[in-house]
This record gives sequence, C-alpha cells and structure tokens, in this order.
Amino acid sequence: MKPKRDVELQKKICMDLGADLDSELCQQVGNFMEEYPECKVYYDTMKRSVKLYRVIEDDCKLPENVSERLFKVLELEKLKQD
Amino acid sequence: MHPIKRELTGKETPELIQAAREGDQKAQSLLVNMYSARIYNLGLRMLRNNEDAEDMLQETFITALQKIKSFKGKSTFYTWIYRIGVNIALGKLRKQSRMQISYSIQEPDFENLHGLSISDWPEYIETKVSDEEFKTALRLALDDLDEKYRSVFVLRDLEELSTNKTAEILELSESNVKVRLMRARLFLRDRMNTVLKREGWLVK
Repeated sequence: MKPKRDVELQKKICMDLGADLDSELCQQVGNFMEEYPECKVYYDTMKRSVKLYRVIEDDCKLPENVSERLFKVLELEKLKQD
Repeated sequence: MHPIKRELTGKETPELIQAAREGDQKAQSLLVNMYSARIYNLGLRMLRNNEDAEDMLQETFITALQKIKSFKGKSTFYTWIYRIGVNIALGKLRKQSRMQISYSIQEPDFENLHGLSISDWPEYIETKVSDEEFKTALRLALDDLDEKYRSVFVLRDLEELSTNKTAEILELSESNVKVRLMRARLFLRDRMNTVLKREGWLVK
C-alpha cells in the first residue's frame, strides 16, 4: 500500500526551499515523497541533528580570565566593569 | 565566569558609537562589554577550541578599535564587528587547512553519498544530549567537517543568519551557500547516525 502523503513535511521542505505549497516544485516534492518514504525519515533525522547541534553549541558565558586578557590587550583594563 | 552584561551596558546608540569613534575609552569599553561574549561564541563555533577563539576575539577587537573611524554606520556596529570576526576566523581556518593538507587530512567524501543509512531515530535521542560521550561525538563530527562547509553551517544553522547575509559575509553566491549547507547537514546527520548505530540506539 502506498504511504499517505505527508502534507506537513512537504510544507516544511517547501518553506525551506522558499516555494509556495501550491507551486509545481511542491507538487514534485509531494510526489517524490510518496514514492520514496525513506526521504521523509532522512529529512526528519537531518532536522533533528541540526536541533541537537543548536543545543550543544548554545552560547556560553565569556570566561572571566578571557575577558580580563581582552581588556588588557586593548589597554582598557581600568575601565573594565565586573 | 561572569554573566553576559547586556543589562549593564545598555544599547548600541549613535552617541555611543560616535564617542567610541572619537577615542572615548569609556565608550569603547562599553562596546567591548556588549559584544565580546557573542564574538567569543562565534569564534568557538568556527574555530573549535578555546585558544583560537580567544585569539580571534582579541584580533577582532584590536582591528575594530583601530578601524573604528572608518565605520560609517551603514550597518549596526555589531554587524560590522561580526564581519571582522568572521573574516579573522576564516583566515585562521584557511591557514589551518593549508597545514592540514601537508598532513594529508582527508576531506569528507560529499560526492559519494550512495548507500546512505536511512534508519529512523528513537524519540529519546534528544535526551542523549546530556550524555558527555554523545556530546563529544557530535562535537568531533563538527570538528571533522571541512572548513568551507563548517563556516556555512555555523553561520546559517547555529548563528541563524539568512542565506543572503551568509553569502555576503563569506563572499559566495546564495546557491553555493545552499549547496554547502545541505552537504554539511547531510554529513553531520550521517556521522550522528554512525554514532547511534555503534551505540545500539537505532530503532532498526
């Protein structure tokens, strides 16, 4: 049995591509996904990997010693605020 | 470590920038306070180690304060200094990659993507980010990504710049940015898949 077309996924892919949902490009994406459901898994897992990278590469605070050395090298150490 | 002091330093105003351009050290130190953490984080993401990120941070602010008179205010000061930072980081990466070539470091084979492992991932995978070994494996994969793909991935997916802005900063065409981003994402996804498979965390 053919898998049902995942409209939400198609919409996400087309948004990433910058196309409208009704466009020919979107129709082609939908048709493609119907024939190759592995692509849905592949696309989903790729998105999840990007999400995981955003978590582990989240902003860290500037270490105090790095900040001190920066102000020193810029000769602004007297104006450094704690 | 101290908290990022955005609340103490206020906003980037034309008066603040003008004072910094005129050599007011108080204004310059406010700008350093305002943006040093963000530039340092950019350095860490692009250069992948603390020492290089610190060098990049210092070089960025030294260059910015030396050239601040040439800043015309066509963009925000942050955009301007961010570009300086990216260029310094790219210069370092290019230097490193020249050194790596002499040690025969192999570039990932992006052209040969046959035989992809199309396994689905278990729902609990997001909880694995607290696992140090898993985090290290993810970071190593990003370390292994060639500089030309990594800089696009960092700017687009981690710094969340637009395709247009990334293309402008890296002096690439927009379509080149898209292709490199896709390849970087595929590479990282496949490396992560390998780790998951090795650890026996895959559904099938």
